[in-house]
Amino acid sequence: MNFHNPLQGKALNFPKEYKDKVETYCATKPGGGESEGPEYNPFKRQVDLWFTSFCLGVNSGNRTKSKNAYRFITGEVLAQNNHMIEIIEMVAIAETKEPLIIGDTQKLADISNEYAATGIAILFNALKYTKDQTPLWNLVEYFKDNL
Amino acid sequence: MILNKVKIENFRILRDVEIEFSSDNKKPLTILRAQNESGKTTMLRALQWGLFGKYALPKSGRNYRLYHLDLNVGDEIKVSVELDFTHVWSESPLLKTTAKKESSYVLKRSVFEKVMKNDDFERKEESVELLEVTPNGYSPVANPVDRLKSILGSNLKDLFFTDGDDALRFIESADGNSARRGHVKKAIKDMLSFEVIKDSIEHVKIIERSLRQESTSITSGDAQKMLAVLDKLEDSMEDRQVAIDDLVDQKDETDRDIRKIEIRIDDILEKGDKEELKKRKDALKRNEDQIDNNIKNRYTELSKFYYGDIIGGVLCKEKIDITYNFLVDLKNKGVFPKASLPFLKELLANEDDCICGRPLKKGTKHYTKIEKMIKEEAENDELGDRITQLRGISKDYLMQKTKKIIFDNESEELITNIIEQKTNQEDLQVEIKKVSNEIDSIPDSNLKELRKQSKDLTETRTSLNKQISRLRFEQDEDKKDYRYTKTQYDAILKKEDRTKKILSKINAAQDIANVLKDTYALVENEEVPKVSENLNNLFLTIIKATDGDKNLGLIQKAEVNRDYDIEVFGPKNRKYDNKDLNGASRRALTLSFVMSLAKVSEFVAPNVIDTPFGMMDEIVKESCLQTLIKECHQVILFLTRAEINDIEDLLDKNAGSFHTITNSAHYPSKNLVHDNNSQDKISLICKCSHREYCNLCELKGDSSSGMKKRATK
Amino acid sequence: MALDRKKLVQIVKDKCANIETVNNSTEKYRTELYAAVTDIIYQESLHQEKATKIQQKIKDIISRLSEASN
Repeated sequence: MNFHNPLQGKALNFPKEYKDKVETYCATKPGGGESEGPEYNPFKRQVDLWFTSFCLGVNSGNRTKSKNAYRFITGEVLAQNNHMIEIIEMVAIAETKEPLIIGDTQKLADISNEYAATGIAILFNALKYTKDQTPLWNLVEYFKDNL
Repeated sequence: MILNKVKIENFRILRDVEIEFSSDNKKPLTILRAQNESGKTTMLRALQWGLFGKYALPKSGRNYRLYHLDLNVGDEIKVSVELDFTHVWSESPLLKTTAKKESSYVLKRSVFEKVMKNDDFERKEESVELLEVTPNGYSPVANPVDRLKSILGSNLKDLFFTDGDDALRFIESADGNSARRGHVKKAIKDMLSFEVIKDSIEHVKIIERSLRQESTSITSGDAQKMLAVLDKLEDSMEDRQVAIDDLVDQKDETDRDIRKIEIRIDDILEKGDKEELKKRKDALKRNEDQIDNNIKNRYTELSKFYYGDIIGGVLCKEKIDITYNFLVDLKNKGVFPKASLPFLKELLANEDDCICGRPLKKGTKHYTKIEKMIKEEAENDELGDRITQLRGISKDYLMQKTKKIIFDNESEELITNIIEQKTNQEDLQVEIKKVSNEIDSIPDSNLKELRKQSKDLTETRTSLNKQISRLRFEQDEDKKDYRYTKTQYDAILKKEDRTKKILSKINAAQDIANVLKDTYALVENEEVPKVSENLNNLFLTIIKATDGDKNLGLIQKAEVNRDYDIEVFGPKNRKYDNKDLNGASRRALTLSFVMSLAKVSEFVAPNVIDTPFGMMDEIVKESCLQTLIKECHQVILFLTRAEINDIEDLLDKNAGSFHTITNSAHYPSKNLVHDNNSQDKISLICKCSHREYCNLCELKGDSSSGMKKRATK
Repeated sequence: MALDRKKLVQIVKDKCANIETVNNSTEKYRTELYAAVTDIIYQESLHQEKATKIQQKIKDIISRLSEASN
């Protein structure tokens, strides 16, 4: 079945300042290196980190237009993650009150990148929630405390 | 045998008598002077009884009382004779004693007799005791009867203890010629051991015959074959035994090695089985890895959770909610999905007429128009579909994925699982550590190697045991065969062996028989004639029939013929009937016969003769006495005073011992001068010689006869 | 019979020393032969006085002599 992916071909961005840091918490490291396991690399891919950042951004209600964003990947990677596409679309519709926004792939990308740009800071804070815990356990603690 | 002394108690009239005999070679005579009924014959009987027992008495002692007539009915008396004698043993394996060459003995024979009514008496069993005189005193002889027999025999009482008249039976017998010959034959055969030798030959022959019957012939080839089989079996068993012993040694050594290794293994295991612990540690580690994996997976799931649909739903709940409501509204408004499209599709599919009334026939304008409308709408409805989808999706989210409790539960579940796994992991790690420590604490060993060695050695031992069992089984089989063959071989050999033995015995029997036969032949052919020859010489000497070589008298020859007749021949070899001989000649003949037997057989014994010189004139008497002195070792003569007459000088010269026996009852009727217990009627003994008299033995006329009076104590 | 028979003994001794034996004729054997003959005579004389198992005794004497000959 052809999977619906409106962000196909669209750039997924992080604010530039997070460029080298994102890899730290990801299992796959395009720059090379080995994963230290889910405790330290709770996100399998950068897009997974981007999505959580997006969600945190949506939760915060703020979008951040990043002046220096870097494209870490294009949206094809979302092909196997229905839930990400679904949530992005639902957020976009809620954001614009325009159902056809889902046909406007750029706008979708923008909305999601902006929310991600907001959320990444929150996420990074969460990942360093406490000093003596691993990033994953920090996430657990953070969400336990703050959700 | 030489008599030294006799002591007689209660033997008929011999109440208490002691006589010492002469044992002097130069004076071999012992003279017992006694008148008739003084006890001469009783003395003879006493000596015979003392030496030979009751069978030496007349009628073997039946109805021959030993007690004195003075006893009353009911009286019991002990009768005894004690003889002191010496015997010189010749060198002879015939002896069954350990006696020395010359031995002195004391023989005591006694018996109790009880006087019964009607001249009857009760005699108890005789008691015989023989004591040998040794440097340490008297030593009882174990088998006195046998010893006496070996000294005297039992048939000699008649030859060496002779009543002068009784001895005539050799030349005359009231029972006829055969009885007479029988006496002579018996005397000769007894003295020369004829019967014994003859019986010996007979018995040896019987045994030889039975031995011959026993022997059988066999094939020696069978034995050789079996021997070869036995030899082969022996060799085989020997070799096999060597092999078995070797294997047993190996097995024992293997056992020892196994034990040593097991001890080492036990020592090691006592400290701890490192291998087992290592295995355990490995298992724990595998377990740990599994848990580790589980934890990793749980972590992955947990981490996934934080970029999953639920976290998205929870974080974006507000937006999702807005979207849902918005889309529901749109739906309600019919904006999305567009309602016409499905309607138009269904119109074309199922209706014949349009709602405007126009027919919906394919190919018609209206139909085509609607088709076009459907196409245009379809082309623009992709998004519409998606929006419709999103409406449903958002609804789902709101129901299931936006609720925090769900988030909490699911995350909690994952976390709890991780914690559990981690706890397990920690426990496991502790366990692993513990095991590791245990392992570390155990010194390195070659336990595995030792176990392998033990296993190898056990296999070796099993193999050795099998080999040993097999060889032992084979050995047992061979042993059985060996035993069976050996039994057969032994049986054959036994036969062979027995045959050899029997042959050897037959040969021994033959040798013995030959010696006996030759001895018998020699005795018969040489010794018997010697008796005859000696008889002749002695007889003619006694009766003074010759003067040198010249025969003077009517009696020319005496001999014992083959029929054991003692014959006397006159001139021209005319045979006299013995009845034709005078009394003196008959006595002389008898004495000559006895002496010749003793001489030829070289038998040494005392000649005890009661009144030997009856009917002899002084010449014959003297000649007879001289011959006795010359030929006999010891001569004990019971002589009446009348017999002593004319030989006093010879007695003086040749007698070493004198005694006189006097019957006390002869006072006064038989000229006994003194009364010495005359009422007792007993024999009185004194040591008066033929030239003496005393208060015991004095007869009327003695005092004036030139005899000396001998003082008595 | 009186056993202590010097004459008889002498005759037997003489015979044993000179007789041609069937078994091997060693000095030892002749000595044993002399002992055997005199022993048999002794046993026979005892037998004359009183019945004994004379045949068995003589058999034993013969056996002993045969052993001496081996």
